[in-house]
Amino acid sequence: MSITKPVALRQTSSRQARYLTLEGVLYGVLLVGFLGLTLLPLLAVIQGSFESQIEGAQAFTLQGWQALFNEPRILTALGNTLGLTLTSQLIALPVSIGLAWLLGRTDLPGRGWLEFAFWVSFFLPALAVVQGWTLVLDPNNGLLNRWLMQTFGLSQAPLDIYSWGGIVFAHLATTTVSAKVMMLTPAFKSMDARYEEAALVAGDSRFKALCMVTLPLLKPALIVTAIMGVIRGLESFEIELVLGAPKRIDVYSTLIYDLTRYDPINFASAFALGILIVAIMGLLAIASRRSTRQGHHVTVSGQAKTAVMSLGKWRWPLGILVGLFALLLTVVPLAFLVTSSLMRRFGFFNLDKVWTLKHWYSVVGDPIFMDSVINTLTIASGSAAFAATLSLVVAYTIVRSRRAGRALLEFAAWIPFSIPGVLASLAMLWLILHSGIDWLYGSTLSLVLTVGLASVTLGVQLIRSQLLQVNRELEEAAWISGASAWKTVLSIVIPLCARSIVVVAVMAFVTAARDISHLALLVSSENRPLSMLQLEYIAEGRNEASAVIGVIIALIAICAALIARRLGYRPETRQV
Amino acid sequence: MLEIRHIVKSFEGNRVLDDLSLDIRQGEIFTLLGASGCGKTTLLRILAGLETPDEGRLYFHGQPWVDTSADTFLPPQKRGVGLVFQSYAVWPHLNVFDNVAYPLRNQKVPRAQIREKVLGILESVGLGGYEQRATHQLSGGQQQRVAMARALVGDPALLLLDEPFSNLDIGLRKQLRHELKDLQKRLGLTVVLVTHDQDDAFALSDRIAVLRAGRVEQIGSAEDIHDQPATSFVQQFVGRGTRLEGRLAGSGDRAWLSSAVVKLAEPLQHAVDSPLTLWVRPDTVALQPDGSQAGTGVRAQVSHSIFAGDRYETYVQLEDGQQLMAYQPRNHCSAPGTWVDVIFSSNPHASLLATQVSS
Repeated sequence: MSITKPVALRQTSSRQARYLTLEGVLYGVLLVGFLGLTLLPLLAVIQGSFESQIEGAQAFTLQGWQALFNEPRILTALGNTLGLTLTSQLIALPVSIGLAWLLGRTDLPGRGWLEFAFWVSFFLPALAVVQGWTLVLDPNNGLLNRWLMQTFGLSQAPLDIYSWGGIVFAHLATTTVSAKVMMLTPAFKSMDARYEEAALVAGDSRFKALCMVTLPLLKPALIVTAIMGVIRGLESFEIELVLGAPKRIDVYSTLIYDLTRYDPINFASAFALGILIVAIMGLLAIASRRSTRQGHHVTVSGQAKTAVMSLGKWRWPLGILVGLFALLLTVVPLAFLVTSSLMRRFGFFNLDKVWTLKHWYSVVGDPIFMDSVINTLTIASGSAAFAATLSLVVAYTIVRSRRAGRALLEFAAWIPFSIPGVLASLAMLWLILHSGIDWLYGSTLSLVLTVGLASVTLGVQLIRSQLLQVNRELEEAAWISGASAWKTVLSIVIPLCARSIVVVAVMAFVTAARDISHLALLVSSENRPLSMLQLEYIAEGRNEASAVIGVIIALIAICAALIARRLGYRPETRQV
Repeated sequence: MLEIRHIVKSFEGNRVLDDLSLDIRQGEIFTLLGASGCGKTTLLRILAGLETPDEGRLYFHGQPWVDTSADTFLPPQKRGVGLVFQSYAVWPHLNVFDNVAYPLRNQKVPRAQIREKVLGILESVGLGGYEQRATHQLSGGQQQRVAMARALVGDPALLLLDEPFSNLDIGLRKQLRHELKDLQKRLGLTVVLVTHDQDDAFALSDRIAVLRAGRVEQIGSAEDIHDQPATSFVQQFVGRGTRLEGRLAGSGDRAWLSSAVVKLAEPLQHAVDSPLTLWVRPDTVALQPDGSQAGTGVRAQVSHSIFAGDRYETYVQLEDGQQLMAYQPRNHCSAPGTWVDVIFSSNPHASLLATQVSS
């Protein structure tokens, strides 16, 4: 019989000493570091709102807050923010429910492909899509406007994308509908069909079954989707920046941008305005969490029967309708974007030479372009690595640690989600300016930290839900086999969660690659990425050049969408 | 070789192990038998080092693994034990070979030796030729063998098994029990087995400890525990049986049952006429045709019989209405309605009804 040598006695560790181990110290560093990273921007916002704008004056003042309630411009912006968000959400929600039901529960033709189209739309950068639509709906030379004017002999352009209605349309055409469809379709798919069948057997019509049985069952998923939609709507920045500018339709995010860039500069009011929005979003985030917790996941029972409903004679008409809708979200705006990048001057089909590669040559040939590509790749890869690593560490600690304070980590992980991009950008700028760490000002690192942190909330939730499915005994088996806690994480935990880690990295990559709001106030001419370059070209009126950039960013986003899809990521409501 | 002394463990105020002490001997299969929640798995996890007891000591070959008074705790990595989890915990991202080789790689064993040892142990658990299989291609029984091979490959001084057969169907269970017993003899293993299944315990164990609410009720061989239960709990928990109500008679060595007096296995020191419970195993009861000479005076009427393959399980009703079950051989089945004499081939154990004190 072979027996291992009895182990030496000195290897036994003392109980008290266990709190002073390397692990204990690292845990402390993680807790303090993560809380700092997430809470400091929030604290900076609060502190900043009370700071005087005149240097040397008293440190604490309520001027910033007073301006908030006195200046009509700020009140109008708040009103616009709420009005635009609610309008676009109220339109998008019923449309999305219908689409998700058709995709998830019926025999709609080509539903796999259609779902994929919404998936791609969910990834597409808003600015590129908006620009694509601008080329169609611009009041001066938009294609549709000109066609309508010619056909019906109108003297004025009937459609104007630079308007309140245009902004709502842009929201619907970008991610507002597609994000909801992406979240709701899996919920409809996994719902147990027996409940619906019972209602049909009991004599309800199909529509009645949908309203009386299906929707109430999916209530938790619907509530979360609606709340997430409102939060995303409140965050919106670049659509309003581009479409609201001509008629000065401000929302709070563009106003913050203005208040901190153009005279009279007023940081305090910008911060105060931000706090209001953070408070609203924080409450919504809490509400969303509560409703996911209370949701008695009736829809995903073990023996759920997932049958599809036959649409009968409506099958093809509805299929074509949904197909057209999917095209409007993806192919149509991109096609116009590509067309415009290839035209000498967009919309002028009567020139001698209509088509040209000139814009591609001039944009790609400009040294700024290559620099921007490198900057985008650096920022996106950096933020992907940062978000994936931090999410993994935080999620693992939340799930496995028995130490005190992990509830704090769980709470802190939700903070980045509740801070709109522009405000995060401003807070980070404020922190850098006040901390005296000059080298961080305008540095690529500051961009990576800010935009990477934005992906941490989703990252922690995703990795956490996968970790919860990893049986703890798989780790214990490694310990018994002699592997240290560190080696167990590296050789067992990370490989088992590889999928969700890669998905988090891909999501963070594409978020960073198309981001504008988090970078807007931090970027310098040295580290300007493609997305900011596109915004600049738009501001300069170089529509064809910005279309070129838009096409490139869209391609990056589509690649990321394909990779994430390949890995089987489904944005389910319980993950967020 | 493994001394377990005064172990106390609570989870959120619930005392799971209550001052528990045991000795496990070299080369035996020692079984912790109990219902769920009795603390048996917690004890196994304490032996593995996956839980720390609140109080108590654990010595292995005289070397301290745990000693709360001296603040000593040896982490699981250093104990050199093998553990087969109830879920098997076979790593899904590694193939069979890499699963089994994992402990050896942690011990920094040379490559060639790892290969030799892994292939050898796979052969002995009956998985020769499976080394390149992905684990999701394996059946439940094969995964169990992988877990066993991984636990054994590092030549553990102690093998811990947590409900190793509970997820398998009956036929496979019997086969794997045989194989485990065989392997244990061949390798001279010391095994601690946790189970709620008496058949597992009886088929494998050299000694069994019956656990209840974090305490040891009885330690002994399978036969001891089945035939001479130390407490009424063991009596009820182990084997099958019927509970009958009676009253103490004679000088405490007999009991009134129905309208007759029967002799008890052990006398009870209590006032005559105290109500008591008799525990009767079906294999100790014989049903004789009415009026035979060896009768105890306990008469019963057959209500029905259930066919159980190699025998009948016959249910009878005593004169006072209490029901009793007895085994009957296939050629001696009494027809429903017939009157029979109830004979006890070994005298029944009894406990006082009011206090349920052990007999």
